[in-house]
Amino acid sequence: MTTLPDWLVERAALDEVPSASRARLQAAVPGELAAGVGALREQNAKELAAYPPGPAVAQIEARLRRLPRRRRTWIAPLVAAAGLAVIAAVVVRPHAPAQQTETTRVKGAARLLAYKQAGDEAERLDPDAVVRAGEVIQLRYNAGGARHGVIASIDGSGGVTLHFPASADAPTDVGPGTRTLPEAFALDDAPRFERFFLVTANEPIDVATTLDALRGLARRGDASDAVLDLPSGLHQVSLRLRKP
Amino acid sequence: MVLRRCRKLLGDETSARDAMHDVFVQVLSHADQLADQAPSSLLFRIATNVCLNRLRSKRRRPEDGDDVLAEIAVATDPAARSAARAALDALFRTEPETTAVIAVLHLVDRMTLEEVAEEVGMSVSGVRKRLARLRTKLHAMEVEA
Repeated sequence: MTTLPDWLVERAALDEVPSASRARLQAAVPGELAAGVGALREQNAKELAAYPPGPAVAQIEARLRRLPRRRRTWIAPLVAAAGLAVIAAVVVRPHAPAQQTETTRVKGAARLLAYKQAGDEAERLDPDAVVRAGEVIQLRYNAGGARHGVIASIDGSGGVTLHFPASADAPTDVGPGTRTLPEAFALDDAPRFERFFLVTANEPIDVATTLDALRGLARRGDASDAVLDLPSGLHQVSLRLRKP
Repeated sequence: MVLRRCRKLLGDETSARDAMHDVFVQVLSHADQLADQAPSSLLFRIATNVCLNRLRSKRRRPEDGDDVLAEIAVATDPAARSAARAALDALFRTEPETTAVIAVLHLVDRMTLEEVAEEVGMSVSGVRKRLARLRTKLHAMEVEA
């Protein structure tokens, strides 16, 4: 029966045993530590072979890039504002010709709502409302009955930010009704516009493909109002906010 | 090490890998504020915090199988595992984060009071008081239930 906990074997393998644990280590069954460290190293080698660090590093870097814009703040009044959730979001049909952006205003279909923190209140933002760097924005959405959704934004500096799910490899399941994203975020100083997209489907959505499409759009001169080029079966709604 | 820690606390591979990314994001984004201590200890503590925050925010069913709360529940009150576990779930939503970390280190990782104190940078008596308060509150919640 082993007497050394796994965390202590980990520390010993890195030669970072806490002073409070040295006596326990010395009292261990002879050979146990060496066996434990050997097993750890073997497991490390298998992990690295099965999962090379590249994708994890890319994921961490992507989250770090998003970090300055995010803020761990709930805007409490949004809960009360939920009952007011009727917004005229710009609805775009998939594969519509470029420039034919504003087609239908639909109430009850998929929709995306943005709120701005204004003191202790949450102020709903209409399409093309003017927002400024540093203002805290909270998004709400309704997938319009679709089972899956991705929410992301592009800005006037060509930046792309994923808002939902939390990461590109996370599930895209969305629940029914109108929901609030768990985190609000502060706008950065990107110029001209912030444009938010809600992409919906009844099947799981490939987030990476969606982000690639957004990156392609963000590089275009007409990014503020052109259609997002998505595979068939995906639907999109966008909401544009203006920067002064 | 970080991935193993996240696996142990969260139980499933997808959540563990996602949490591991968050651990390194936290480390890298707060590099200028981190205390000068052994990297393994720092990573272990941040991984524990990240995983506990995830567990805290996740709505759980009363009988969700073996997990961290179940282990603590057994350690604090083996005779009333289900009730203790449910109470812990509720308690950890209101207690300071440090108390949850202390409980996990002592009751799940089997660290001694001295080891926990060194890990979280508190006195041994401070750790003992936190654990005693946790047990007292837990028992009070069970009585109310």
